[in-house]
Amino acid sequence: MNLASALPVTLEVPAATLLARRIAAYGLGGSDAQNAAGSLSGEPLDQGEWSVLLGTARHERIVGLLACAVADAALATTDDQAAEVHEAHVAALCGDLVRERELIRLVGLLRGSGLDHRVLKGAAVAHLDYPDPALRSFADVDLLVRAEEWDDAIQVLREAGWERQFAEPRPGFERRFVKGMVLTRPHDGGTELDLHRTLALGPFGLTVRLEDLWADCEVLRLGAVEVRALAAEERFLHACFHAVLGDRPPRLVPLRDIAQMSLRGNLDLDRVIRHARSWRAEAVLLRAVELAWETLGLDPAAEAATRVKSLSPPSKEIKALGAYLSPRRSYVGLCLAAVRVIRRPSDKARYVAALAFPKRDFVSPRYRGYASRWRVAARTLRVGRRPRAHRPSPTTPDER
Amino acid sequence: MSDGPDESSDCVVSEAPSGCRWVRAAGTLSRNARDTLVLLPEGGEDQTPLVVSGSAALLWELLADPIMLSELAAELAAIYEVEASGIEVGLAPVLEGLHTAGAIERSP
Repeated sequence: MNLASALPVTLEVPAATLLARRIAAYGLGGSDAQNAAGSLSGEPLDQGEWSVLLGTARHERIVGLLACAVADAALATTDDQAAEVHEAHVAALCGDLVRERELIRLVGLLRGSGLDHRVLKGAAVAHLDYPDPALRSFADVDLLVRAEEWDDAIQVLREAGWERQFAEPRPGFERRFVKGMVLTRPHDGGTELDLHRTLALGPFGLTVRLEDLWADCEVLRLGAVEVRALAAEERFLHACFHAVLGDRPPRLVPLRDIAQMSLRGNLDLDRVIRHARSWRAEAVLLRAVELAWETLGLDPAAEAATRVKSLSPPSKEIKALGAYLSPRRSYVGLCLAAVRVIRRPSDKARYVAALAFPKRDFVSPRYRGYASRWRVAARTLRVGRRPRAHRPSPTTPDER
Repeated sequence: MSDGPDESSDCVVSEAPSGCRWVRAAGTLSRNARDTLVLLPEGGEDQTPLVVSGSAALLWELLADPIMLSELAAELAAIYEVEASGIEVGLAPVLEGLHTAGAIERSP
């Protein structure tokens, strides 16, 4: 069948994307009509459309939800298509288990050195917020460590063979200012570790009250090991940060996470809003809920939606959010925006000095030298002042 | 918590004492995809996930608590409405494979 004839297609959104959005919302409503056989598509897609849909589901990390919809016959498929999505799902689950094993080892490593941790994003959300972790796959391991233990954590990981992707611009910079660091073990497995100090790059990452992330936790059991995740409200806000301040455009999976947590009914919305206010991130919360509700077509009368949509974020926050949502978004732009939220003048000076005059080993992997780096920065700033149709974002450690 | 097959690992399932009970090894990670079971037993870096098809998901559910081969066979036979003896013959090598991989262990 033709996808376009089965869906309310608009010129802006491809049909496969629309169907992927409905799959990303699959099972949320809980109504029989929504989950009924054929509710997503009563006829199998033709092979070309199916391939696009499966590719989209992989990219958006919703293969588990697609497999569930196929198993429930909400999405009609041929036998071959059903086998293909089952195979893709099993492959994704194999990857999830390998990453969970790595996570267990990493937590053991940190614990063994007396360092605290919180498991973030996929691994935590899959177990704590979804009815079945097989519905929520993830691509890397995300761990939060305390800012004051950042240097120790990096040291412990390096001794265990993990290599940081980039050097620190100046000593002490990371434990004060960065979102996090990607570490890999190039000679020993392909798992990527995203070690976090806070929840986002740029100004919104610096206004998060880090002590709130450590005040409470939820425990999840992976095999025989208990690991700690953020508490529900902090986990929800992190999903909001991820959806709004992360990839542009956002993947469907963080939007599903937002909806999943909102609609489970165990979220303390007062606490969520209180945190958002004290983190100066009401604009992020509001935009994330708007985006999830619009994209997934959720019930606008749901309590989470009505409560959050009644917020009126300060104009400063809306302006700061603009730096993330702009098509001209750049690492340099976010770094400059971050200066405004650093309160102490001495910290401002440290931050600017470290980025303006970093150590040579921070510069050399990416630029031919200081002069080359300055030229790129100047070009980025110049380009940032005038509108352009398309400009690729620079790859940076914090942009990950 | 098990570090893999215990000292009875040389005791294959089919030769285990009739009263022997089997249970999931505590460190085994698992996921279900319909009736397919994906397992990653605790072990070294080289240990790769096991993919078990058939009625593996149900089998794994039953292995949450210590259970004898004959009890497993009886449970599955009741669900699938077949003879338990036939199931027991087919089940022994599956348990043996899971035990060898370190995914299940003998209950103390």
